[in-house]
Amino acid sequence: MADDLLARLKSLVGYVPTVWSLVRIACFAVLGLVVAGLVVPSHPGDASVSPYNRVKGAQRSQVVSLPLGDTRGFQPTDHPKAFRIAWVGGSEMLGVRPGHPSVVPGLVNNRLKSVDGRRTRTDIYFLNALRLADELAAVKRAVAAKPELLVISLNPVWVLNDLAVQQWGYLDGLLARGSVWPPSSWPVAASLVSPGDAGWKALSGVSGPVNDRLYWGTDLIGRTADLSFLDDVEGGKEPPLTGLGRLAQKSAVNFWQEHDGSPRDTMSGKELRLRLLRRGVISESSFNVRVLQEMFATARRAGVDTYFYLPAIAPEAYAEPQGAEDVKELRKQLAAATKGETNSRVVFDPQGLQDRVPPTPYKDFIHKLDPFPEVKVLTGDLCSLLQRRGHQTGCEAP
Amino acid sequence: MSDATDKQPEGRFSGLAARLTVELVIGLGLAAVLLLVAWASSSAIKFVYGGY
Repeated sequence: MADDLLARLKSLVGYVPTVWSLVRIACFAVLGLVVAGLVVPSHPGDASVSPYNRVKGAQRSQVVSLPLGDTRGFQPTDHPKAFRIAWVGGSEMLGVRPGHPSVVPGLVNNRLKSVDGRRTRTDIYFLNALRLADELAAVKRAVAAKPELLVISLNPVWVLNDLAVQQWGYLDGLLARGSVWPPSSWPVAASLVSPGDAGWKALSGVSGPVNDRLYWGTDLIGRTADLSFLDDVEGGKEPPLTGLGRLAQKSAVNFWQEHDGSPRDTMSGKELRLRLLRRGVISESSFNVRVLQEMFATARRAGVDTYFYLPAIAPEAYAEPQGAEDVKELRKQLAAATKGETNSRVVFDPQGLQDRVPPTPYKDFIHKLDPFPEVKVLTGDLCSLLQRRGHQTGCEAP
Repeated sequence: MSDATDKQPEGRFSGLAARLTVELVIGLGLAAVLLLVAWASSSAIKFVYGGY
């Protein structure tokens, strides 16, 4: 087709392309995208629609995650007069009491009150089922927004678990953008990011309509969904799924859980969760360790005070001999993985919060019904860190 | 364009103008295709919720 087109152009206007033609065409294409950015209206994402922005603790904090599939990922707030905190984590940082949901970062933010005379405001980089590589992408985005304090929750079930190092692949563009420099960031990015992720993110920087592509794509699909060359069949039935079709409907995590030798049908929910924790401990995933170390390196390079923490699992699970043993082993592996990664600004206690937070009711293995005991411990730790770093804090006494 | 053509050697200018016009059209067409692909592929991202 290209050959036919070139032959026609040559016969019509005598056009013969050269190497420089490609350069000029690329420049004209970029120019076209820039002009499109000036002409097409901008549609910045709206993170305020997150239901977690209407729960307890969200008064002076905001979940800044954009809807799933939006490759912009997060929309940090802009409060130049506030002391700005960025907090990254998954559902382990929610309070899930029925009828009284809450967000731990927001509750801690309210107790911190003010730092250096400025009210604290927390941007919460939260997604359900956030895995370690997603968390790294969120950390890259968070440090680009230049917070004054960065807090990162490491879910004990997933931090070293090779069953799922990534859940939300649409964040890979953010990972690519945050991994341009230094070269030590490249191995993790190269392991996950596709050329398409990197290319679209690069074009997003050139042209607003590419950056806003979820909005325009949804609009486009809405207008064209009914267009089809196929005949409509009244009363047609979908054929039953094939084996591969059934497989495609399962999440990767569930697939591997079913095929790792567990007698799944006879195990209780608690046993399954314990097995998931154990999987993280026995997998000894070098890639998880590498992603974790990249997260620490990102925080160090950003020069921002950073507090990593390991939340507690449910007290009933910890009371089981196997649960206690796995937590002990997890601590050991995390201590080894993060050796030399901390400094006076970037802190992490591999012992985690397990023995420091008084036992509190959980909905399940990792989701707390009452988050306040953890909130008190976290508030105390962050106050101590800020004071050690020379800040004046208005913290409530823990 | 015809005035300018009168002032320049016929073959050279018309060749350059035609060349740039062709490349401009191809470049802008490429930009339009890129935009359409970006939009059309944006909601093609498939989600499988890990559930935990």
